Amino acid sequence: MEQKNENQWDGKRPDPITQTKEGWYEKLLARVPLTVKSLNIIIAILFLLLVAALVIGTLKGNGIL
Amino acid sequence: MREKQSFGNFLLNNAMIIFMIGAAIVVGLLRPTFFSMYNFKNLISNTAVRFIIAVGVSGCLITKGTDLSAGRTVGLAACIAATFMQAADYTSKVYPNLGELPMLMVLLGVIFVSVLVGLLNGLVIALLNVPPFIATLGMQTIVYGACLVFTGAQPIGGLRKDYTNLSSGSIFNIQMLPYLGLFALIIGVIMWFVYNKTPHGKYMYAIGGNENSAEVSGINTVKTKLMIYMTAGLMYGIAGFLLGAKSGGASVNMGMGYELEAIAGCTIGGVSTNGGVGRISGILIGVLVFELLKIAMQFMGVETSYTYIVQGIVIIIAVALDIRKYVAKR
Repeated sequence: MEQKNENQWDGKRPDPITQTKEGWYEKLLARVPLTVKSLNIIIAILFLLLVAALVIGTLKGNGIL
Repeated sequence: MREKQSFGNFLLNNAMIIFMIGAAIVVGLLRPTFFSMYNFKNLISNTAVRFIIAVGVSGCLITKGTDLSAGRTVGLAACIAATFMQAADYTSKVYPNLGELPMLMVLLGVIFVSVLVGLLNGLVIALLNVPPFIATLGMQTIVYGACLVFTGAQPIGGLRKDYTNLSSGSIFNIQMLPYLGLFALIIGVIMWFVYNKTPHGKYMYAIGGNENSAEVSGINTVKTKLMIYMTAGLMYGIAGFLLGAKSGGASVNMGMGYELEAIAGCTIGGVSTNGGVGRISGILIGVLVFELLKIAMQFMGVETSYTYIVQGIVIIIAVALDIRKYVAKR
């Protein structure tokens, strides 16, 4: 049976080596990992923004909006 | 199933190009003059100068670097070229007593200055290990300051006819074949050879793939990086010289923001910001498609402020798609 190393960092208490605690950014990254799926969603949102900017810009430029 | 997946990946990886070509076709259908010969020549001329700049930036991107001083160096090169290519009878000459200099001499002088800028960039990045982003951002400001000192913030006009003919002229007087397109083609072929058939090209891709491995394998990374930034400077010098001819004059604001356009063109064309990947043909497609979108927006009468927003989103999408490719490979 594998014994747990007491010095192993559990992420809650400060890291014994760097003396840092896991912050909000690390927790957010763990929750929303950089995967193909999450990137697909981000890219889809960006494409929607692009189309919106093009449409609004065209309407404004032609004095419709 | 696998074929379907790879087709889907192909569509996603080239989503930006497909979107922009689609947008251009829609604009062409709504505004028939979009597909006119004049507009085609305009597209080639605009693409040519930006392609040369993008080729320069691509070397930096392939080695996980960047060059934010590109636009300002192009502007400085254009100002120097315009200053020494003014017509003898022009009343507001910068140097009234200076006779007409041979065009080749001016071109070499402009190239010398921009290669020097590239050399300084390379030294700071390769020898001092300053991050390329910071080093070239600093150089951008230095070059802008130098340009202000050189021109006294005055616009330069009255250029010689033989100089402006470089951009307005075309091969055999065929509108579709402007000289600028020919210059870009020659540079593209030479750089394709350098990237694919020379040891320097191989070293460049190796450094971009894994710099430590490249160094352990015996590649002189400092020398290669110096060469890359100097080559970039050479490209900016040529592009600036041609840009001066194309614009019929020059001012300190010339070339502003061109570095972002070049990075966008590269990224759309498949040059990875993670380094080690990029082809000359891809850069050409990327720059061409980006320019096509800009002209399409002009034709559709998109409000100027919105064109900047669109261009910014395009750059972010291109980088996001590049990161997606990288993550998918892991």
